[in-house]
Amino acid sequence: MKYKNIQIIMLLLITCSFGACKKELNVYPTTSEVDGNVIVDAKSASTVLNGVYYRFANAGVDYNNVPTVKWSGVNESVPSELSGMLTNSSGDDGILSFTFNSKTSEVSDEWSYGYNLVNAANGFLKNVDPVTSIPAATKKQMEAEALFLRAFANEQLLLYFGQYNDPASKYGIILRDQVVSTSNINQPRATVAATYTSILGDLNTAIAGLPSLNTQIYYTNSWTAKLLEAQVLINRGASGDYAQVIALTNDIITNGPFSLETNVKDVFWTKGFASNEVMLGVQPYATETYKYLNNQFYIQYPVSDSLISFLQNDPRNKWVYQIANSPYYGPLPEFTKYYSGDPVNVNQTTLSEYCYAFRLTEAYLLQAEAITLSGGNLAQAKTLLKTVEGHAGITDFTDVDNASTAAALQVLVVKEEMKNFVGENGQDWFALRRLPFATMQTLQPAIKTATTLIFPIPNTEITTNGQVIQNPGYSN
Amino acid sequence: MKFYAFIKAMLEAWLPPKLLLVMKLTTLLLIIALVQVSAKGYSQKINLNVRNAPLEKVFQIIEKQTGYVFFYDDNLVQHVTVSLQIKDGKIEDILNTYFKDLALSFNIIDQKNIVVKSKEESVLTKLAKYFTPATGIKGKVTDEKGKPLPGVTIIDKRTKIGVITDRDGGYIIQANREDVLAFSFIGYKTKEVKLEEKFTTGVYDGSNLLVNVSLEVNTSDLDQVVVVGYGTTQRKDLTGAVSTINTKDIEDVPFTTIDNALAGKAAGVQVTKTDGSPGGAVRIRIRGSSSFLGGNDPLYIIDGVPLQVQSNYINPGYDVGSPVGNDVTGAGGVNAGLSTSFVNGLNALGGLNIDDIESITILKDASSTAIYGSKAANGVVIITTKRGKKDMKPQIFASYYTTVSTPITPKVLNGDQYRTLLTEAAQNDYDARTAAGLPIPANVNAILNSPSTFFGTANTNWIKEVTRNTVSNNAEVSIQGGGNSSKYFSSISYNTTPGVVDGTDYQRVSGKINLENDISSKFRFITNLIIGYTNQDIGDGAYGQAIKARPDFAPRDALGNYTDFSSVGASYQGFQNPAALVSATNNAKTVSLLGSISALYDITKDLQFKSTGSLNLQQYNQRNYTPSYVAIGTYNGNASTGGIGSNSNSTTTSWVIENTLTYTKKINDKNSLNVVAGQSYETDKYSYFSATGEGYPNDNVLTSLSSAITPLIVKGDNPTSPQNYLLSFYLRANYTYLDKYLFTFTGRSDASSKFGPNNKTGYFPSGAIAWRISKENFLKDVKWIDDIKLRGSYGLTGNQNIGNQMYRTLYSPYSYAGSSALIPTQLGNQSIKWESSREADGGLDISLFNGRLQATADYYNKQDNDALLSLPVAPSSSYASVLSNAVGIKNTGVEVSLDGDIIRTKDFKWNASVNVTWNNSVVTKLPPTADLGQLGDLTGLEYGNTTLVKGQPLGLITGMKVVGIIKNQAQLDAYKAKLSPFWAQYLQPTLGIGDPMFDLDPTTKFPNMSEVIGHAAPKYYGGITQGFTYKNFDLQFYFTFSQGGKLLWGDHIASEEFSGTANANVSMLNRYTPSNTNTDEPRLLLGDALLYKSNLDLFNSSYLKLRTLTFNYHFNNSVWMTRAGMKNVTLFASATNLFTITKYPGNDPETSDDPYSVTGGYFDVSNYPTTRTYSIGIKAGF
Repeated sequence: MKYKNIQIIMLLLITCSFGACKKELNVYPTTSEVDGNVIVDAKSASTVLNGVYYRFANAGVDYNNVPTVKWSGVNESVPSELSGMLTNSSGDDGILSFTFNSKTSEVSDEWSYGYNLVNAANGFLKNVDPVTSIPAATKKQMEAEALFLRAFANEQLLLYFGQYNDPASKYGIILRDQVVSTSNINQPRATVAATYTSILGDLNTAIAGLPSLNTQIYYTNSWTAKLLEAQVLINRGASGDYAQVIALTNDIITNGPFSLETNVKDVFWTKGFASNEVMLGVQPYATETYKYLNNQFYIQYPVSDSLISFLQNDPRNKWVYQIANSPYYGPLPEFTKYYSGDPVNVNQTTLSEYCYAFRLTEAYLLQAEAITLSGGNLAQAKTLLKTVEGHAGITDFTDVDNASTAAALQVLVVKEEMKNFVGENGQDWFALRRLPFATMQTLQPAIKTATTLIFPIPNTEITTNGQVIQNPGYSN
Repeated sequence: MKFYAFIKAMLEAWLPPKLLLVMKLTTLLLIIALVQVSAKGYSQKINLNVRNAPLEKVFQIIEKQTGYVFFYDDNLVQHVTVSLQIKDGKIEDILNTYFKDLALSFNIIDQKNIVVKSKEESVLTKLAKYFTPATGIKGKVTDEKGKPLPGVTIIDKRTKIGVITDRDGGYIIQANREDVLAFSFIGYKTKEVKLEEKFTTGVYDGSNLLVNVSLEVNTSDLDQVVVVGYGTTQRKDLTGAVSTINTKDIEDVPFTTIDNALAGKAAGVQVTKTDGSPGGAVRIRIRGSSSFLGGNDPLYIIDGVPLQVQSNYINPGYDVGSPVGNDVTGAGGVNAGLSTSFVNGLNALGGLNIDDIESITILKDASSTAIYGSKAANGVVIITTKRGKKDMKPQIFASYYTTVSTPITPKVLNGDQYRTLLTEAAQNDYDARTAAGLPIPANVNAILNSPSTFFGTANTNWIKEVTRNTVSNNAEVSIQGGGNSSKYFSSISYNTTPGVVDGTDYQRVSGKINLENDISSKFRFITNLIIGYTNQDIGDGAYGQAIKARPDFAPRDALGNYTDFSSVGASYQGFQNPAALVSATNNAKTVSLLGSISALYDITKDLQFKSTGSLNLQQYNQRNYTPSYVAIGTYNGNASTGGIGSNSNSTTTSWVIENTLTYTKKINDKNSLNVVAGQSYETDKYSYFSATGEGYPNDNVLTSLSSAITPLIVKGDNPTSPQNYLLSFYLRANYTYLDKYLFTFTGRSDASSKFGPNNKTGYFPSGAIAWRISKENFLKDVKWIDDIKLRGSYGLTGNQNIGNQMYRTLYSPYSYAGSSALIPTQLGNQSIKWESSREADGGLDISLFNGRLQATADYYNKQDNDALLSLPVAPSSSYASVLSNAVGIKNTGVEVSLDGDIIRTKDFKWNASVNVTWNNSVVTKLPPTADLGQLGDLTGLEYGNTTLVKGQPLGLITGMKVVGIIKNQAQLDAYKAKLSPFWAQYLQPTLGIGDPMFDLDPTTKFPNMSEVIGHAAPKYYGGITQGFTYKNFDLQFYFTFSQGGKLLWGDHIASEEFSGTANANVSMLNRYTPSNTNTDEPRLLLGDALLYKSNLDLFNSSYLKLRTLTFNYHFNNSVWMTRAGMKNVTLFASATNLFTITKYPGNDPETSDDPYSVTGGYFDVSNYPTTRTYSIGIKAGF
């Protein structure tokens, strides 16, 4: 070979590797997608949107790495321990006794749940935005779904961590409307007012873009968005809010496609998502056992004495809990709201893992409560309450009929919300907090001070994000 | 100049330096007297550097340099050529030393004329010649590479008649059958040939007997060629810290893998075999650890193909319980039986046969490693394998050895001891509980009240039950040779090593092919292939179970089923029948291929171009089946229904295309230059597939995946293109001035796909200076000094051995409601950059007494300030952490190695060498919030049990600190007063005399569970070799040692107190009792003692181990060998692990739980026993 040939080969070799490398040094992964490229069409958009629902369901894996929806971990047991409806067979976990602090794991879980959902929603919104190949109507609906889910997350965060009942407060939540990158991780808290503005803004857009019914009941719809708005407003309780709650819930009850289940027990024990009462469900994995193991196998969260007394003379005392022998703790009132099988010799049932985020019952009760709070027509509220209780199998409405003041009736409505939504979606706890503080304490004596009505900001957030201030009454 | 003659003549035995000084004068006088010149001598210095130069020309050079004039007959010097390398030589020495083998005599006349004559034949010679009928002996003399050597002197030792080879290396001489011919040539070793033997085989060329001879180059250690990055150099020209390993020392020792054979062989290289599993993994660190996430194994370059060590183990999604693992971590539910066995049992270098290796070089400092830039921070091990030889008839080498292996096992309680101690533990607990008014647990009642039903009747030695003595075999054949323009080497070896634990086996077939072709005088082509296949049955921790198995249980019950062990402890403690575990299938097969094709072109005499394409391929196949009667561990207890099994495979492919230009130029006498510039392009691809299923119809036949009824896990990735790329440019320049001042500059730029757009490229410069102080005027005349060299280097190396795509924000696929879902799972940090180590090295190389004593010392300081670690970020980001260059680690150390021939006589030689390394790795930067859970922890035993603390060395073990044993009521009361009442009342109500007192947390007054209880890293370590050669016998002792380290002996934790009712080590016999109060071990308290690792379980792991003892006998050439066609035969025997001097009470102080971990590796988890082996073998050349 000639010297020249060699030179040419060398040059070729070197230039080839140079030219090829720009692209190769930027090689993309094969087992994951890169932010910015993740949505290219309607199909990939729906996959990413499904990922937002994944966060909504708090999906993950159990201790054995089996894919599992862990909605129950953040939205069933914790709020119902706070409301005093459920207890913990392992003893005080800090939630039961209201002695939680910024390092309590349940507190961090609640915080992470909300922000996981927010960032997933923001990721969808950012990535779908530039994609033009998706039909406009489809894109609008998908964006509406993501906005609904973001509003839900922010509502949860506000209700658990913010001074939600004081619109003038500076203790709102960290509002994130951009996808997280290393440059925007650390953000301060927004005011409560700004938080409400953001949530309601998202909801208004969502309501406009959502269909009356989605393809599946575990995907959201406009009625659920309206019910969420009603939830948000009744907790804010600012002027005009209650009227709006009444209007929204009235709209849902009269114009929505949903109807109350004849007996509410059937929703949980036999029908599941087939029940027309379910407005938004959380779909479990076929192979998961998490909720069943917690509730039945370990009897981890038995019902409290207080719920047992609430359910005296209530047909629900036959199925919401049943006495069973725990191998570890002896006889316990096992929480069997989702479990239709033998409470002693337990075996998983079809519906034991199902979770329910929104049910029509809530619209009735929120309206009844809003009427009592806004000085409305108590008879109308009583009818709503009786309708709900009737569907629970109650026939004796003496105490409802006897409630002569708005305050007394509100207590009854709230008690029904606590019974109805125990271990379900946190509405038992949020309803309890809407009572005057003293009344609240009589129903849940574990509450000692008003500052513990909201959680502290988790310690890791304070230490890593220098811009966040702690809630009053808590140390970092 | 050097006085070889002086050394050879006078220094047959070791002489003290003082005596040497005295003798120096005498010798000088002698030499002067011998030289036939006036005593004045000549001051002119002669410098010569010629190769195969005509003698006439050499005379001319000398004439020019000295003014001497040679007088000679042209015929006399015609065809005589010489190779000489002389610096500042004197004429008399040249004539007497270098020219003495020529058949010429030199007489210096009048201090300016030299008369050259033929050496005169003596009268006797003439007579002998006259009377003896001689045969013509004819042949050709060549060098090692087969090139003809003109000018070789051939002298018949009897007649003293000599001839000289012609231009083509040919000669002809008359000699008798009983004569011996001596072939000598300057720069080559003299070779003697007994003609008797040649006459027997009798190959004739016409009437002349044909005797061809090849001469070996006579090089001193300083001229020894050392392989370095992208080239070779001579030892004397090295500027960096480089160790070489004599491959002769590691041949034919049953170490199986090369990394294992490196232990104690080179300073600065720490090698720990993780356990005794055959062919298993080795923990190897060169100058400590430098990365948290990136792995700390050195980069291996095998025949130019880079290989980064990693474990091929694919987690099948389940594991089996590991009782010792539970004890080590202090937590139940540790299921690491399978993972520990695989991580320790697989070795990425397993496909390479040690006996194929030609040379091993270990590059340690930044100057020598920087040419490998981004992969070099952990040091580089360059391995070159054997190649063919030019103009060499095919030579076959065969070797075979067989090895007997026996396990070295610990002593555990026998049936009677077990019954006694368990009863004592139950009685103590009964008493303590009665005193505290507590109910009596069922098992305590059962042991005390119905021992006959509680205890089994057997007396099983479980260790014996699952271990065995084995015989293994190793056979290999290689063929080497070459013609005029091509050469070849190929080999194949087969090794089968049944493991000393039942159900474990190791088999390997490994081979290589090397072909080199000269297409033209300037163009060469080299093909090299190394292929390895290993087939391993790895096991799942049966041995670890055996040391805990109840001796009163028989292996099988009355029905012939494996005895159920579920009553031994809670399900999360994972006790199982060891015999049942042995019946599981846990197989791994690895095919590895290292192949390369290179083209070399000599553009000019000084400039060479080389282009290489190479492939490193690893094909791994893993099969697991755990029968239905073996419990697999999960959080909720046994989850296996009807057996569980998996099939996994993976393929790792790395391609490298490399082009280098090498320029070597001796500009003039004073300046020489060597420059290597190159470019490389590298890609890596990893594909894998793994499926796990459960529910099998039976446990013996239908155990393949297709028989499973429930699929559990399916995972895999098989990308079409590589997942990462590396594009590099590099340059190294060596400049030597006066052969005295040496300078090296190395630079490399690496662009990697692993980093963000602004940080893809890393630059790794380094420089080194060396000063051969012995070449200075004030030392160069000191004759016993061969070389003294001072070295200094500084440079930057990198590490990119981290995951791909770490800089991007990623979405990962999951599913929700039966549809795919994409979730943001990784927050990318675009600003992450290369981890870089700054290393300074200062070294000293000394060679004295003609290479009889050699010493090297180095000090190094290696600082890594920007190692990668994920640090926690605000959880409101929805991410837990983000990767950043946030941590630092520093290694400082001193390495010393000495090598000397203590005795060197003709028949007897005693060589000794020793090397020691003091290394200290300190964490210099580590945010306290960092979650150490992300560090490599393949076996799952490190996290939470070791820790890293800023300012502290690596190897911290955490646990409880026992301050003493409570020996009387006063101590008990005092301890209770300090202890939190809650603890005393609820957590340890049975606290009493004989229990340990723990160091308490000042705020909670609870015993502190995670104190740093020990610094486990050794202070220094190294190796000692003692070699003896007597005539045909070689004997070599090879010791390794380690001093100042600590090991956490896992089995001791549950041998302080019973874990469940499992068995314990005999160390339990030393427990506290009222009659044995002078002990560190607490009393036995069944079920109520705190079973947690503490400083009581931490033991000094210093040791001195006779790692191998080898013995060789080389047969003299004899008739039977000739008849069998053998050229040489050696018998050899070796033994490993003959004895260990240590205070460590466990099984073996040289052990590690995880070869890859940065934080740990200092747990003795009793996964596999160490073995002692005895081998015997034979090696023959045909």
